[in-house]
Amino acid sequence: MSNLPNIYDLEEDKSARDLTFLFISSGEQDIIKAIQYSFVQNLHGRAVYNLGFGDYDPEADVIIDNINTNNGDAYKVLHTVLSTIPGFFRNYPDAYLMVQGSDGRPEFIKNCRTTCTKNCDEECKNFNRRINIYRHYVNKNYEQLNIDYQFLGGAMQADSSIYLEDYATHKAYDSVILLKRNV
Amino acid sequence: MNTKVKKSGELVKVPKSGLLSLVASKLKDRVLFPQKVEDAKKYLQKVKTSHS
Repeated sequence: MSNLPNIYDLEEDKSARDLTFLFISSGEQDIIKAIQYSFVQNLHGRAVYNLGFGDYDPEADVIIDNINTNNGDAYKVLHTVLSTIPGFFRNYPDAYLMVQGSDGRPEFIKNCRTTCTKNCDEECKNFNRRINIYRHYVNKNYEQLNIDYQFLGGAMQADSSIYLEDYATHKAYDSVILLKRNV
Repeated sequence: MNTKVKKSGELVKVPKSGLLSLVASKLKDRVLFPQKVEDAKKYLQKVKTSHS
């Protein structure tokens, strides 16, 4: 993730609890994108940070993380987000990094059906779409990434508990958790 | 005496790097994704692990 080609220039800002990156997605329009690694809580004696990613709306001065911009530069945006992960671990070398999509919330499917034009049958095609994009990248590059990072996959069980296990590329997960290996 | 009048709605061109610095200063110390952090907390409270 440290040598990704074709990425946007980033503005970095570190505060006491969070690490934030900003960049401008220059596709069909210019959109300011924000990435923030926020402290969540401790797990097994390590700090857990969540990766947040969304668009900055300068008029409303808010971040929006539940829309698909379709700006024509999806891969460049994805690579730019991924390129910040080594920087995160330079700042927090012992932390867990948790990645979840904003379209994985329990209420997402109900909300999606009110506006969606995809005519999905029982399974909502947009549900967990974002985490699947990250998973696809991990699966495709797993051998290389596994040298530097340990991956865990989280999946909700029938009793609503979350089962966290060593990542398997053939399995579907609703969260991915990374830990930097001491290599 | 000539007085300079600034028209409302006048656009000023800001270089991209300057724009990002400006936005960074506006967003400084703000939790940008509070809902996601809350979701993550709830999620982690339900975690059972099996990893080595």
